[in-house]
Amino acid sequence: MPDSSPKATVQSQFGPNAAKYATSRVHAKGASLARLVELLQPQAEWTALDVAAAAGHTAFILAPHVAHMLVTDITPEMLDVAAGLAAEKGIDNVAFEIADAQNLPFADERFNLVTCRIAPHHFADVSRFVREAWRVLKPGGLFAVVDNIVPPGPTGDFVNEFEILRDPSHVRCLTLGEWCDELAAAGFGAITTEIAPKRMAFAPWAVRLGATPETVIALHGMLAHAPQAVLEFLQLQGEGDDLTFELSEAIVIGRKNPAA
Amino acid sequence: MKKLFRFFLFAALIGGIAYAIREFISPSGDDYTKSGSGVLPSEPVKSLDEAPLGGEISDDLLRILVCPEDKGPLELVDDGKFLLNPRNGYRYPIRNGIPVMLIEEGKKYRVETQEA
Repeated sequence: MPDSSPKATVQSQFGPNAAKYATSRVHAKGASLARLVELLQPQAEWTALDVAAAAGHTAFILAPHVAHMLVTDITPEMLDVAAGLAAEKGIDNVAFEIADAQNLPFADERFNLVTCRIAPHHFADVSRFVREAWRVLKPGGLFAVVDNIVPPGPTGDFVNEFEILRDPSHVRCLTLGEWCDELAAAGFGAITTEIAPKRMAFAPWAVRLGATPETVIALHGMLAHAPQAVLEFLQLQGEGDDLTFELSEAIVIGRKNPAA
Repeated sequence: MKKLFRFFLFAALIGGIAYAIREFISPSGDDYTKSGSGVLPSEPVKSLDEAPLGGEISDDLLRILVCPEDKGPLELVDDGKFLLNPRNGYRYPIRNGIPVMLIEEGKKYRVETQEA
């Protein structure tokens, strides 16, 4: 029987499409990468962990600033691409492990920094992942999540449905408020947030994960019938091949035991 | 009975010819085409299951790796091919120097241990 758990869906979705992520512009040159380094101010003696690293873009921008960079993903093929990129870039302080974000294979209190960028919307249990991040962080350690966020209520539900149609491994984008609640519930303090819009070209976005032409038509159909609040959020521009829309990306950072 | 046998023989022959024609027109090759995206990865992506067991992993990494289920320490066993949890017998494979730390993988290679 085929395994239809979210984890298996992520593996089957990202495995065959792994190579596309090494060159995807939003992921490689996303403004949040540089901003993340500014906000986190990584230190030379730190051991850092990047969870659900995909092609490793976040890990590779952090690696030169820290002593050790651990890189995990649940999709072996993704890590294969990441390991290839690390060798190409001559980054030698990284180590790779296949791991599940919700069951991290690391001892307690080992990291100064845990990051996870544009991935939690694939997780079946975000709360569990946030608790795992808290567990593996040293007292005073930083946890940084970058992910797409949605507005609260039916507007956010519609945007999530839109994403799920394009990518069955999409579980749910949270609202900014939900992210803050998740971090606070796990015990993080000194929580800071930033939001940046990012404009997406519809055509490459739609097919990056292998959507069929029928799915692309269905996505257009959803946009054609979207409620006004959704259209205000997505800020559609252009038509046909030039169609673009906006997604909202948040950086949420919390500290474990801020007083420590 | 003989008729039935002949029918199956005929069906198999037709099936074989159809398969040969289809393979000639478009070889099946890898499964990437199944996604029907029309945009394929620039190079074939290999499954890690096919990667050889073992490979070097650093002592630093070994010190912080634990079983993802009980979060307890692991032992490098089988000439560095697996990380064993002596408490439950789970063995996590190391492939091409990358530890595969998924609970389902650990279970797949589980061994009987004295403690388990």
